Amino acid sequence: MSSHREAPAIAKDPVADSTDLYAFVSPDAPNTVTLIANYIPLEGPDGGPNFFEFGDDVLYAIYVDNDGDAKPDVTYQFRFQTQIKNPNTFLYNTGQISTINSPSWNRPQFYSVTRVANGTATPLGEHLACPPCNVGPRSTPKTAYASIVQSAIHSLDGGVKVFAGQRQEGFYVDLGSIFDLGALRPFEGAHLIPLPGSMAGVNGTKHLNVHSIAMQIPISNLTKDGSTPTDAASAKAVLGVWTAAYRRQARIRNDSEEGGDGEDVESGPWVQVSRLGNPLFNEVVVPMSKKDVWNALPPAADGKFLEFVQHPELAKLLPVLYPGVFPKLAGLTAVRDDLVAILLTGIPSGIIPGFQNFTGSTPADMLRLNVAIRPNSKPSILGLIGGDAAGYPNGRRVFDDVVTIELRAIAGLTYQVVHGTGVFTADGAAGAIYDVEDPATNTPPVSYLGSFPYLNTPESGFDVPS
Amino acid sequence: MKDLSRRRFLSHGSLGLAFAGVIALVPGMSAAMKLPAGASKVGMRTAITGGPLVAHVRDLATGEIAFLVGSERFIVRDRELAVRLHSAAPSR
Repeated sequence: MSSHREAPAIAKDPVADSTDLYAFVSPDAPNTVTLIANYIPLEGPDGGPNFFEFGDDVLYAIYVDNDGDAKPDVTYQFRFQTQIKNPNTFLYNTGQISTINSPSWNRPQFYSVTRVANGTATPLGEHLACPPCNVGPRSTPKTAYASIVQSAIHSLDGGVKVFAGQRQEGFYVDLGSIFDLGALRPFEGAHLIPLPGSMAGVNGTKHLNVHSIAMQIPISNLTKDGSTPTDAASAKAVLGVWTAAYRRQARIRNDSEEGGDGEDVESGPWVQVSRLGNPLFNEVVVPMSKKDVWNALPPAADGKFLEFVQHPELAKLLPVLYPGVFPKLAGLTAVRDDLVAILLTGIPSGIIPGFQNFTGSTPADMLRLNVAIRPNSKPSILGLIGGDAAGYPNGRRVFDDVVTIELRAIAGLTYQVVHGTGVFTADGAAGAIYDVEDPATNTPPVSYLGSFPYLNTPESGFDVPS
Repeated sequence: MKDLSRRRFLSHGSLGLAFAGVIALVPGMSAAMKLPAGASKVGMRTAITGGPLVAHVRDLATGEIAFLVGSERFIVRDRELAVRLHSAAPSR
């Protein structure tokens, strides 16, 4: 998956587990950037009576680097607080939740937003309401839910919008197949352990939800000089973005037999437990034994993981798993500077006409968004390799088919782009493989909203039983 | 973090409060330890109402102790203090 349950330790701590990160110039408000950090993987919509929520004991952050040093220049921090209105019921809601302030919602959650820049922390919002989870037609009727979500989009000073709450999972991947020895259902017959024929890909995250922290921010709030760049060749047009979650260093469990008050004790500094920039980085690039360490480090430390990008394990596995399909990839032993550019430094000028998102030589896993590249009215879900410079790896939009893009890149397609066919010609399969749905249709298997927060209404628990 | 001698640690205002918190949180600790000059009774109350403090003896040999209070962490190296904290726990 993108980053769902991608490392052993964080897989046991879902509320702090970042799953996807998006950064794009807002198509309907092109002077703004939308940043979305998703947490809590694989939410079953019917997961009651204690429906999913953010962690009150977790510090969530979205970082923006605007000068290429892979260190945060603008940070948005989020802290959550949950209330229990009626302590004498087990119910999530005691009646229909028709408004965001409904007294029937027994467990509302609120949050604060703080902006940190130049060493100064500025509160942007306090006691901002989250929407409830989408329980079902009796508890959260469709019409009322849409209205509640609108109430949960808060306007803050400086033209900033924020939303935090449950959304439909927008990331798509054939989860059941890809982790069954790297199988791609449409190419079953070519696998080392073949299954008969070919099958249509399956979106393994269909009918699942996530929790999103979404912000829409004027570009001028994020750039180094406060401008809204229009020159795509300018270094100041590129923003690096990542998200991270933190827990307090010490936690002492309450022991009721010792007369505890029921509350755990937490103390000490915030310690990073989860991080996410590019999709699939920690998931399929970093070896299992180093995944937890990676989650605890900042992007500026990613030089420690450079070798795994230069010589990715998956590029060695593809020719083995698909015998005879990737002979040219099997012979490609050179440093994968194409992947280093996509994942760790950004793509310099001169590789793709009119495009760059280079942030310098510091290897750091961040989404890199060139904000001077305007939204594409006819986007390709293959992003840059589909000829659409407004899509991944120029930031990441909600509908980009990042699994196919990264599979094709690792299979050698982007090495060919960077070095030319005179140096390397990728296997035909590198431009043909896909995971869920043939991207030639340019139709993602998930629907999205046309405006903030872009990720769709969460699946209802009643409508999607396990 | 910069090393602190025990004397300096105990005379430092905020760390003195932290020290008092240790005493308050570990049953029998105040009897086992002599209260330092920096840890007045007023300071002790402040520490208790200001939230819990956790002391982590990270290395008995070097005396490295991490004190976690609020969102801060203070590292000190004081072998004598580390040994006394360790000794305060009943032997297994």
